[in-house]
Amino acid sequence: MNSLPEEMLSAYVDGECSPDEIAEVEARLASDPQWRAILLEIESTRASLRSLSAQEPPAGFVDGLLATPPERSNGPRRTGAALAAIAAVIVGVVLAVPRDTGGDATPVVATLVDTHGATSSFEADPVSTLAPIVAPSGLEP
Amino acid sequence: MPDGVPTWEEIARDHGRFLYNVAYRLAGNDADAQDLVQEALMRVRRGLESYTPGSLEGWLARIVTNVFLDDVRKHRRRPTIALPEQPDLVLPPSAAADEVGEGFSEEVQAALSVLPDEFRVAVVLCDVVGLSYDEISVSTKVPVGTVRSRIHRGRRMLREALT
Repeated sequence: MNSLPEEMLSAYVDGECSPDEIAEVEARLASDPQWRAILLEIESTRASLRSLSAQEPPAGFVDGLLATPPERSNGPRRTGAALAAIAAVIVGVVLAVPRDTGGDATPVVATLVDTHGATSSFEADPVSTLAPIVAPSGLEP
Repeated sequence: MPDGVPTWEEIARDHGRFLYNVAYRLAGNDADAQDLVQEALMRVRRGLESYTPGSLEGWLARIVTNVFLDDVRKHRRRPTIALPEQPDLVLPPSAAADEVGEGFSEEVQAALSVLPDEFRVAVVLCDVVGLSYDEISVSTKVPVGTVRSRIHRGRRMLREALT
């Protein structure tokens, strides 16, 4: 009798036991106060669940369903709509980025020399304006 | 549409609230419940051709449950808790359901929401929808013995969460 699983108590209160199982459960209940306590718990919890009133949807929910049947709506689910919005943003960004026009990537050398030469000088060269390196006096031979 | 088979509009109008209630008990919040109902109704629309007149609400509950379980598999949105293998703790008696106050529904819903998904599904289908163990077994594609275990352990965990 001790091998009877405790879950039989839920099956018992739900009317899901066979006649043999009912006899076993009732015999165990008659002899085991712990099982009787558990049975009370199960019955109480079950009653609590079954007494829950139906959760009402927001006002207009059913009318909204009828107004936009799933296959005629733009997106059946908010998550689908969100993914569509993300995809639209990605497409927009891709289209906005300047694209390679297909021309020769090598710069025209003459233009490059003229431009660089006009804006470069030794005075403006940051390397040339660095302070000269002098060895510390204490390290001189 | 064959005799005895409702139209999609009839289901949305007459059973939209039922679907929402089941979805809300499973998902635990309004936004997810609305999403579940919309997805379920899409499947209803596709499945009406093959629907055999019978327990319409059982069929609808099965669909919305499958939508929920599919979402869970994809997102694992909700936290799960470790379960004792042998929950043999005897808990003190609680007040009967008709003795509690207005906020009790919210307390029960909060307790339901922390159950692991597969246990919440079993308890909701049994105690909210009123399906038999066989029907839950078919709906969730698990053996009846597993259904029985999940219902019992789910109720025990729920009881612990409520005390």
